[in-house]
Amino acid sequence: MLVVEDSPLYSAEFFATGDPWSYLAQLRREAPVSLHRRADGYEFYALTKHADVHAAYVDHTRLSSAYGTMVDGSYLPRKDSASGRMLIVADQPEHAAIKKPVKAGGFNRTMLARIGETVRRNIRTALDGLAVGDRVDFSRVVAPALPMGVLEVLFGIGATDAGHLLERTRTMIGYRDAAYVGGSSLDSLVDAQLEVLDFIEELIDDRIASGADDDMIGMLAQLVASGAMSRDVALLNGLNVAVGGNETTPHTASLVVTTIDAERDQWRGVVDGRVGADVATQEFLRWTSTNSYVQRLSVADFEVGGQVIPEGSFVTLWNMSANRDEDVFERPDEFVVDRRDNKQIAFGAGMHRCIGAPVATLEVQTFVEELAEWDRAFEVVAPPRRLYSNFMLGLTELQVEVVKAKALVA
Amino acid sequence: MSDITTKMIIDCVREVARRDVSGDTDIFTAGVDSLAVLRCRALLKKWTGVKVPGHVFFGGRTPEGIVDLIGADNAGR
Repeated sequence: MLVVEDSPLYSAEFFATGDPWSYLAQLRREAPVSLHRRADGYEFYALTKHADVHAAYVDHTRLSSAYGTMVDGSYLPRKDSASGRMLIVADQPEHAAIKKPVKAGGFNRTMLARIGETVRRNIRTALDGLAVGDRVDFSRVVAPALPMGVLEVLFGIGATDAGHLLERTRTMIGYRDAAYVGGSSLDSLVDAQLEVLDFIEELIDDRIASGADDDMIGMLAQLVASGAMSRDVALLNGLNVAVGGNETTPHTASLVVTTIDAERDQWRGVVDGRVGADVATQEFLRWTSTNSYVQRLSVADFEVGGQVIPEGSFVTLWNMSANRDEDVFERPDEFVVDRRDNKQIAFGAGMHRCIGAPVATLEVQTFVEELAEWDRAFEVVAPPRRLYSNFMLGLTELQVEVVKAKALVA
Repeated sequence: MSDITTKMIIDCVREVARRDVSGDTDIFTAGVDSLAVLRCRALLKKWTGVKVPGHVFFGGRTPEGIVDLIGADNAGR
């Protein structure tokens, strides 16, 4: 098996300034299962093929989520106090017990409909505020409109509070990136995290007092009130949903804009109605692969891709690589807006598949629909700045000029 | 902020994490986590009216270190 010392996969800088797509393509061809080491002794296996990544997702009994889903993401590189109590780092049976109320309270059909309306309203407001000739940083002016409506509905808060919450979770995830935090990054991370927890706790207390259970936080609050869920579990999962929702789709939206700018002929198909927004959305999700990988820990020997990964190993599942796998996708390195039977795996698979996937898909599709309807368009006017992260593929700056729609797709 | 004493930190760790620590114990090694810090902070606010920023817990690590950092934060203002 290929062993890579000082692997670029550890490097946030490589993902911000290098070409991780090509590196992963090479691994996929030459060493689909490989081992990556760092000077301090930390090591992980990397899975790059779609079939292997899928197999790893589904085998949740041998590959545990409880030891943190990011390389170095946990405060300590072992089980931490959230393990088994927060969805993203819980195995069975705890996972199912938490997932049920979060899904029922936050991601049911009624909530989805309300979220869809709110997201569309926010996107329209953001787009309507822009005139031809305006130059703005899309990543700051428009992109946050996607998750904002989700927060408003799930947490039952106004746009102002949702905006504050977005700023805090941005600091938590992007704390290594100077674009999001100045000065001491770890201080900013812990302060932001505690403020989010404080805020969620206030909301839970409000809902316990009022008895309202008509949104996700209300549902969790009533479980706390009845003793069916501990206050800590409610807090941790409120945090999990806020972070998971906030720090993903704005990046996807920014990358949708750069993709449209680069693929104007294909975008015309969506504008003309020849390609459905739903079909285009699936390809945008494949192409952007916002969450690049997740980590697991093998709690038993795990056979994958003809190799055996020994018990006690960190294993990384590279979504972004699986989404360009030549065995699954024709012309994998091309954006194909009307791609049929799209097996993109941007949200993972199996029990841990992103609980917010339907909401995120709805956000992106709504954005695509509104852009296609808009009589204006975004033209990228400067090289975008990529986020310093190997975990989230996103942009911290995207300078665009608002032009007439006809100027983009003549 | 200077009203916050080492004893108060020790007391709040006992209350929220049910751990007996001394002035020079690393409270995180002793089992304090983010949620315990959240509770501790709320208690200190109740006792003194002061909301201590989270990073002084993680930076200070021991009750004495935390009180020192609170003092340093204060002096810098």
